[in-house]
Amino acid sequence: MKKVLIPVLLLFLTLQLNAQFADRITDLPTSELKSYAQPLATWTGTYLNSGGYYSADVSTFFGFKISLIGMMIMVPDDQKTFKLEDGSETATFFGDKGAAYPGTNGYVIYPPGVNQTSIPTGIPQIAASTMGTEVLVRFIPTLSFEDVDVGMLGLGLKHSISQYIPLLPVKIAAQVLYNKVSIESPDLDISTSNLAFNVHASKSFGLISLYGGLQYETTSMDIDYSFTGTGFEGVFPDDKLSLSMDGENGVRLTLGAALRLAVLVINADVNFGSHTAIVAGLNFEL
Amino acid sequence: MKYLKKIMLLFLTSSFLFFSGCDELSQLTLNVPLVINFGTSGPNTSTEDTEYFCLSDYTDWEENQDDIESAKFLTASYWTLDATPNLKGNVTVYLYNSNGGIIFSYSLGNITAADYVDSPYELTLSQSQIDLFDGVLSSLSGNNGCFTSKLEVTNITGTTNSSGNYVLNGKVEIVLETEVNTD
Repeated sequence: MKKVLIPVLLLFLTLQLNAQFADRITDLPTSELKSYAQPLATWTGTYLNSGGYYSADVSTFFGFKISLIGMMIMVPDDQKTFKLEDGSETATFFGDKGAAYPGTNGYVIYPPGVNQTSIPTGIPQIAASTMGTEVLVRFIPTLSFEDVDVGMLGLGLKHSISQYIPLLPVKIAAQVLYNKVSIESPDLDISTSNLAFNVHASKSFGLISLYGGLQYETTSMDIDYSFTGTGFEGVFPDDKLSLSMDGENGVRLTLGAALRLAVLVINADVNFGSHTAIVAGLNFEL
Repeated sequence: MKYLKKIMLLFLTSSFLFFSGCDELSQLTLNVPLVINFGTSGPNTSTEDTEYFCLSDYTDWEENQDDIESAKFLTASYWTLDATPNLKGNVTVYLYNSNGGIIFSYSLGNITAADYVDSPYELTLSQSQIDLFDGVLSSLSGNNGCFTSKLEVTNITGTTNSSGNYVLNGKVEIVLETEVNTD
């Protein structure tokens, strides 16, 4: 399962996930895995639905930009543990220690988490615009690491609203984002789909511009795996299990600023939603 | 396509590094269960079974033993697997180190075996017993990773089987909390 490490590392964050951890994901039946992994689903939604804009100004002639987006996502304490039947707590994906719960057939050993409070990660993206409409693409071709395949595709469509409203003091645009990540291996497949819709505005003051927006976002995560745990009732080793869950994403507020230096734009914003995320971007814009 | 992938990887890695510098995950806490099965049988009112085991006999330990930096006692419990009808007796669990030195003995008292088929009896060790066990675990090397455990049953009452024997099959699970280096 160590081979799962590299793609997960690349796609999901700089967390140093490891073989021991990856093995234990499959030690849980679906009912327990849902509690364990739901914060990850929510986090994934925050991650992939971030960094969609730093300006509402959309070119009517031709625009092109390449962006390198880095972000720090804060995981709240209440998403680091979940309660077991006896009221004791064990780690979620982001928590610390797993519990040893005395079941009817022996101890049920819960996996540890990665024990992280703030998660750094990033997204590369390119965008092109014309006639007040921008198309954004995030794409990683399917990469194979031994028998693990990883791929990512993100698409965004943005349209200027302010072009229809003369003399409006700010630029306004609406955007739809869709991102999909998949990791496929013989014993563990994970895929996430993320959809976001936002309306944002920006105003320039010389080299500096301020921007902000409201976004509604959803996330779903599907996990298919071969069960490897013991001690749980009604499920046996090598059973093929599937779990679908939604992240607890919803509405997020984004507030940020950008500094334009010729073709280089540096931006930073704060996002308040299911997680608090600090996003910074390095953008080359034509 | 090959070059495109390399470029994408480089670009992606750069994105991650853009915000690097937070806490790194270099250690995981893994709970390793040690399951010791006992089978006692005999016509007398006292019986016992002794089992010899090494930590490397357990998959979770064996898979990670090169990276385990420390281990300590977390919890332990007894389960009855099966027993002759109405079997009652004084049950005591012993654990010895590889030199035969006692690490702990724990008396469950005069128990009815059937009470612990579905729900375990937790062995609540004293702090001095835990400290002694942790001390052994902290100085593991070679055969030090091997132990002997004994289940002793005395003052047995109940119904014997058709062979005239009292039978008590049980297991003790000891859970160790280990710190595993993931670098």
